[in-house]
Amino acid sequence: MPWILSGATTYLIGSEPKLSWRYFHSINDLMIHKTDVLIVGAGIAGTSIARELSKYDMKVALVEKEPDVGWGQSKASFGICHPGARWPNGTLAQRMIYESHQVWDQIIDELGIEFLRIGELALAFNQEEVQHIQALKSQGEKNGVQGLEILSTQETLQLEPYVNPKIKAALYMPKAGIFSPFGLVLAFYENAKANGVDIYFETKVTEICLDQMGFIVKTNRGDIRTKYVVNAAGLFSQVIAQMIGDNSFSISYDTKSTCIILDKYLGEKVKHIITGIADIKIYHRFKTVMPTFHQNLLIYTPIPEPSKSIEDRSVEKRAFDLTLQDAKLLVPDIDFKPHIITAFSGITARNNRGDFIIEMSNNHPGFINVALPPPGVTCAPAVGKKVVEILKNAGLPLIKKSKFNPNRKAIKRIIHSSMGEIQELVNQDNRYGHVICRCETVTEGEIVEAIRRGASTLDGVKFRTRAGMGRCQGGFCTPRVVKILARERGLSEGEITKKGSGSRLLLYRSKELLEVKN
Amino acid sequence: MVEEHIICIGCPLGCRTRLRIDPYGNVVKVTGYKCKEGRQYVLEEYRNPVRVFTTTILTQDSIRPLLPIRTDRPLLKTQLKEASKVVARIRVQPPVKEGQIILKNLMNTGVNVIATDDLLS
Amino acid sequence: MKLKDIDVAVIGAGPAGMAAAVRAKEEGAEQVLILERQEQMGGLLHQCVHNGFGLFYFGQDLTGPQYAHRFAEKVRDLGIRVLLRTMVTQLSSDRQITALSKSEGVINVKPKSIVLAMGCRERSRGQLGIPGSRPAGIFTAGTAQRFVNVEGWIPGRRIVILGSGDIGMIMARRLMLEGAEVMAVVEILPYIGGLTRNEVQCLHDFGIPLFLEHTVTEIHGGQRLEAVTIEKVGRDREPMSGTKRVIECDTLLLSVGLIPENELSRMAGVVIDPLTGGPVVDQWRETSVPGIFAGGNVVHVHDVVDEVSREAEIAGGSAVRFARGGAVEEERKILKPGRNIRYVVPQSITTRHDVTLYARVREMEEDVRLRVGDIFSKYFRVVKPGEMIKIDLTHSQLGLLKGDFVELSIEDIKGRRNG
Repeated sequence: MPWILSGATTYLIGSEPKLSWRYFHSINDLMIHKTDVLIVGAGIAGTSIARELSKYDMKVALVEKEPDVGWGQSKASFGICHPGARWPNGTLAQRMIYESHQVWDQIIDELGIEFLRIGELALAFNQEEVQHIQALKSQGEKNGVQGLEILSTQETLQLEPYVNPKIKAALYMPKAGIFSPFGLVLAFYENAKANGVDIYFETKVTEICLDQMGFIVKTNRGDIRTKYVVNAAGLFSQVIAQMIGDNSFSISYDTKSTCIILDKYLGEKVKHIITGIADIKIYHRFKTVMPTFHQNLLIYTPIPEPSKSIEDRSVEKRAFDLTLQDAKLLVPDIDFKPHIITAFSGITARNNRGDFIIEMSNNHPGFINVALPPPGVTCAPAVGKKVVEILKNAGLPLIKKSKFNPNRKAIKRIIHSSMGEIQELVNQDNRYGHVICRCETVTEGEIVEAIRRGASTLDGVKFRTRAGMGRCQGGFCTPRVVKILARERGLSEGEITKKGSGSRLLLYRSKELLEVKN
Repeated sequence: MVEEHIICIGCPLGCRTRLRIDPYGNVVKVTGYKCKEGRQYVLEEYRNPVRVFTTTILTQDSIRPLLPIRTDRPLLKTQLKEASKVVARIRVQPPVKEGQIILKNLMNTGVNVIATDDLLS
Repeated sequence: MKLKDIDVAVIGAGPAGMAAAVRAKEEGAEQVLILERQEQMGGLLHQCVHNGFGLFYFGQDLTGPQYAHRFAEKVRDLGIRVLLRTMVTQLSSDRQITALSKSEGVINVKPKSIVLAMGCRERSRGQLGIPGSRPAGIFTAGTAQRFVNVEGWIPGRRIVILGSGDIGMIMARRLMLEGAEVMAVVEILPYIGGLTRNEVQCLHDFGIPLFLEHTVTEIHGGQRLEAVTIEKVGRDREPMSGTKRVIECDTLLLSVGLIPENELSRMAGVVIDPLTGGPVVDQWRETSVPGIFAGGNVVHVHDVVDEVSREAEIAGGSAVRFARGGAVEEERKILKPGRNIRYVVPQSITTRHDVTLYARVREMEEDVRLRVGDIFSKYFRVVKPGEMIKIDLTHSQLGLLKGDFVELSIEDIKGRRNG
């Protein structure tokens, strides 16, 4: 029985209780471990699959090479929950969207997911574009999307006064919404964990061997024996598939896209997801000016920039400038420049088949490949269910757990609480009255809770609580968050990292560099 | 003959002055200044370039890791590096009051190191 | 917790907030309250261990903590109530303050008048859009200063500093004195952003290379910073080809500008001047919302802490007068920035009282004359954006002004000096 130590449950396996994460990180000895299903990758796909599997009586393990969930592509998602008009009928993507929408309301409620149904306005600037949105509407209706309506210029401007008045029309998709993308992954992960899924961070799969029982998955932390493997490794799913000789698909990662995040002051000016046509022939490529769940403004236009490597997240000047330019066309009266907070790039894994891949490998029936180009986030629930179905067909016995708890609550955020709720929280724990991040109003109580739930790095705290994501980008709160992380984890401040091993923030103690070296 | 370049810090102009020095170390000529205060400053800076030394020192038995300190009078600018190393060896314990002398006669210069804040716990 | 009968509430206990509160008490306010989010009074002064503070205000050369100490003592002696670890989360235009405190929970107070003294924040990497990866090891100079001078940590041993503002140069010296190596200070303009004194005593004294007309164009490193690319820029501030230089380093400090912190001001409907980033104020430092005053870096970024306190005192005094019920409607003249003037504070004045104007130029110029309408002119050998200009005007001079607007401008008089 693993020894529970403030969120370190997921780190401790075997019979001997360990004292701190630091001690664990220094263990190089092999851990032989067995599980029924091993999921590779804790992004939106992996965590959704984990949660779905956790409903059944079996051992499930999830391995993730980063120190936290969703650090591959998921955290860089815009969080759009697409109504489903943009994908052609008959594709797996479209079916997954449709099936997900049947259960989204229930799941959002169960898992306390941060979601706002704000609607989308797809703008058309000329006759050709008007035809495009009309076709988009038809496709949507065929896909079962409800509430689609073509609006006139006037009607659009009434809903969204900052939209370019030169538009001819807009397609209104009221069912579109926005998630907090990291919050979404976190919700699935926390519920999966609460229902018994073992999750190992900073655990990288290096090799997969086959034996008569199933698979031996070798990692940098030891070997794991499993009967089934679910390959949900996102950008690296091709690499993982190739470990069993499966070359049935390839992931392209030679282009990356850039988006810019702007101050909440601007986020308040835009009420819907505003999109523009990026390619007159392709319905699922669009540029956007949209509020995020946390009320920042996000602007994006698809400008494929060549990427230097699979991990290349650098922002190029050209992409930055073009993104600003394109956004100006959609909302000309918004002054972006003074309110830019940051920009980031990410590589979106597209596969060579052009559709979702959720299937049993031809090389081995117990190996499931999951490769989701956009819209991965929108499809999370259906993807989870489909994988379970495939596993069932591969022979996995599915016995429903009697003790499955579908409910999970997000960390209580002061910024969304009423005065009465805040006072109560402070009465129970006065750390909820101590504001650490002033830009996003994040308190010590929330940060401590995030650490308890698994945040072990500065970025981990940032993604779970928003501390450091505001205007000052951590200028004020970083020293304080470092202090809290060190205190809660029993480490010295110098051991705290930004994003896992190799990224320590503070390299030397005061006076250390002045000491005479013997 | 040697030429020294000194920037005057008296006003935002920051005149780049040149001092010609003879083999005995005497200033023979000053050029590049625009006012007499500036000339005076650069001469003084050449003869006696001094700086107030400010830094922090490590504490012991305190919640606060550091105590800010300063010298009560300036040191020669060439002494700053050594001064850093010397005070790096000091450990101070509470209670300390602002203005209290932490170290007398730093490096035999007659200058004292004083606390610039209280260290109460 | 509801606080009643507060005459003046001051938001922030830095050199501005403390000065405003002390002046308010000295001018007869009975209940003065300061709300401060940190664990102690003094704001950023505690991390400024260097000297150069208090030369005008106290007539002494003090370090930051010493300056803070003097004021904190005054605050205590005058019986001003201070709530620490208390963050104001909401401010309404009818002066309703909501704050969150570790010890008291939710606090509501509606004082008779408010002084905004929230200071400023640093411009971040995200806002500059520096291309490249996102490794650990990138800090704004102020955050690094807190680690080095308060928390007891040195971020790295091979440092590059972007921006030659005062904070950047002071940190260059600080890090050298802690045994690190500052490889370069990189500045996009052809001249330094801060005081010449700092160029000499922080860079020259330590042999730190200064790259003027250069900027960082790329950041390299996976988990931790490994190097930065710097390039020379032309007059258009764009990188010039063929000038790339890679500097290996493990730490990058950003000293690229300060922005007044006005989220609360905006919440209260206070009109912000886009030229300063702070509230539009009159000479009494009253904002566009009656009863809300502002002083210090929240109005415009100062060079010298003494001026921060001076300005905040005006706000504190005005706040007391307002609380007592003295709102005088006087005819106002609007100050307009003219040629080569970036901004003027206060943005409006009356002509019945003496006033001190603060201004900054857009670009460095030599041999110029500053003009205020046609009532005042002064010769300057050099004007720089990094050195604020102070102009004292008497009411007799102001009485000669005609019209509703007064323009401040810089006139280039190279070679045409007439005394």
